[in-house]
Amino acid sequence: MAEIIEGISPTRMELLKLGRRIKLAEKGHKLLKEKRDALVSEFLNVVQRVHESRDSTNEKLAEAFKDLLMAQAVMGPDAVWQISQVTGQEIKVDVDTMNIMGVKVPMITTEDVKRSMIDRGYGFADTSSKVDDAARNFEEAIGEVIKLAEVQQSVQSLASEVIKTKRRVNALEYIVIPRLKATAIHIRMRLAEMERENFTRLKKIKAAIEAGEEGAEAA
Amino acid sequence: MDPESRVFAKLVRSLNDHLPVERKALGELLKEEKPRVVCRDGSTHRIRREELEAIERMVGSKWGKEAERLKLPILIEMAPDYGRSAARIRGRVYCDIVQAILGEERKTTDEIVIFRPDIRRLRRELPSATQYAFLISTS
Repeated sequence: MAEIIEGISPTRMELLKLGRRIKLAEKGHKLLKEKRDALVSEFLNVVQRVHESRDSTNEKLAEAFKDLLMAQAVMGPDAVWQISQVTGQEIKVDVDTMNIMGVKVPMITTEDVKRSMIDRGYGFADTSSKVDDAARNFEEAIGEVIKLAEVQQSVQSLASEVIKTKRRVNALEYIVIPRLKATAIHIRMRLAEMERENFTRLKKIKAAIEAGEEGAEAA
Repeated sequence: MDPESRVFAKLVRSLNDHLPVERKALGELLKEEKPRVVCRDGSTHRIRREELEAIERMVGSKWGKEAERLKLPILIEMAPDYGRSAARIRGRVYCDIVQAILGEERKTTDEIVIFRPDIRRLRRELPSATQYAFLISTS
């Protein structure tokens, strides 16, 4: 049996108060359990998105690196490096937040990072088509990496909130509510005992009075 | 209000702190460069443009101009009265959107109750255009 709350006097008033507190704790527990379930379901959704995103990112990057190696093999690593220096390297990303049950998760949006061959800034005449393939695949991979970063961060934030909520639910379920109930039982038992004591005392007093009256009559 | 009720009200308030102070109309959100609503805790909640456009496509043909006045985000009301993990969607237009996503053909009503797998599917489709709301049991 759970421990009882110390320092509570065994009165009917306290028993009524405890009853109200138990009801409140049970309502709170039910609500928090709903939140925990919703958070877990949300967490599983995001985990699934992480898997999908990671798979497609790996696929895109593998393809891009393969094309890069081919381009280096055809043109030489120095030539490819020189081409990479003339292309623009800035990507505009917009980081905002989304609020999922009080958990702030990032929402990263970016303009289309795919560029046309002209926008990439290198000449067509002295470059291999493999450079174009590599550039296109890397641009596509960047979009996937940004998506992955967003969901990865969301998973971490949601996981810590799930742990926090779970702890609160467990505290209510295994400590607070059992303790309140044990205290209520203790008070009820104490009150019953006091009632029995009172009953015995009254009986004894009655017997003593009756004995006194009989003695007076006999005299 | 007795102290116990005050504590409970505070708990419910804190669980619903992520809800918007004021929901915005679909038309208004579509006009914004960065569609977002302000939450009760002071933070902002961004809604993806792709989701807004998807909602517009879903209800635009049936509801016409009315669809632009649709208030977002859609609230998924977790109501313990309907049992564990059951949620309620209120409003005819909202019910139409949910049914379109779930691919169900129910009679058009003002209120539908959905359960965990459907909630997950709905959240997967519209993660930023929907939000959970926690309601207290009436019993």
